[in-house]
Amino acid sequence: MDTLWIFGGAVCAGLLAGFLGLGGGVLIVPALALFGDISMKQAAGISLTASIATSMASSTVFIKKHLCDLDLGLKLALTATAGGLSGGILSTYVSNAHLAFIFAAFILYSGISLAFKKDHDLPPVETYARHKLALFLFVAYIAGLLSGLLGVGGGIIFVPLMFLGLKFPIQRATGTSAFVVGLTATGGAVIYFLRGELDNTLDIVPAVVMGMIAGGKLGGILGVKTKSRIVRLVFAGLLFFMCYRMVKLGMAG
Amino acid sequence: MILLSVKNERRFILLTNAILVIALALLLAAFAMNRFMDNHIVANTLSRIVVVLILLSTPLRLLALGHLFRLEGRWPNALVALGVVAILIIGGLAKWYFL
Repeated sequence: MDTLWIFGGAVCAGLLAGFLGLGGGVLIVPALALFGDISMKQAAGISLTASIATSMASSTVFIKKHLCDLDLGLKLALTATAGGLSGGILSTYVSNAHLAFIFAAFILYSGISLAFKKDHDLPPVETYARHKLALFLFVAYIAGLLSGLLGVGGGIIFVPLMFLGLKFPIQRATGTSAFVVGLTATGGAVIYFLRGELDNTLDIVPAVVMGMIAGGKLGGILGVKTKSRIVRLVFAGLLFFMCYRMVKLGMAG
Repeated sequence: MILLSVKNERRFILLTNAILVIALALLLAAFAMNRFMDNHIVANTLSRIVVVLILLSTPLRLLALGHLFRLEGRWPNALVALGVVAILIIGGLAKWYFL
């Protein structure tokens, strides 16, 4: 496939990822595997590496606008990375079918909530209770575990968790998630790199990474300027799509 | 929500953008080498350097963030940043061993 097409696709994936605070793997992995003549593992390796760059590009926009909670992001990343590690190890022993159905139910509920709930107001100085934070860190660990088990990125779990669990306004949730996904993707990306999965794809890497950096920056700018209702609805649409994919995965066993 | 001071926030953004600019410059060079000069060896070497740079950027940015938090007298946050770096390293080693 022509590298210019890959670049165009990566810009679109980065745009949506930056806009919604995701890594972009949801879009770029199937696209690369279908049109890039490379294996799923190679696509996942490129996507993880590119999502670190996307996260860097989009999170700076959110940080500048004070829509990224660096403090919470660090704590989230700490527990989610530990969860992702446990999930990666567990994935060799556990059947994914039932987990896929449970995860589908969670994202269906999140999608409906995002589509129909009113956005939370932004208080001038936000605080969260200590007991709530402890619970949330535990949930972040479970989120990391699920993402490690099911091979889905963290963003699709973190944003609904912050919106529903911590009552974050949607743009602060996407902003904080944009920062976190770059940190959580690193562990996986290092493994793909050390295993040599990226060796035969080095001609595609520049087009994908450049596209996703450009798209991520644009997506971040769009994300802080768009009305929160639109962000919520686009995110809900993506969650319904992911719910469909998870049900299909579960039915395939 | 705990924010960095404006000055330290700017430093962190500057570091992130600097890494991105270097990565983009190298990627452009790799793209041009591959497409217009057919020099695949140099292009692949440049791509590999960019991948390593991106992978190293996470611990580098976390260490910088920990340092900035420490400058503002927030030791627990600096320790959390260091903890993430440690878990990333331990996680990488554990995944390497188990998978």
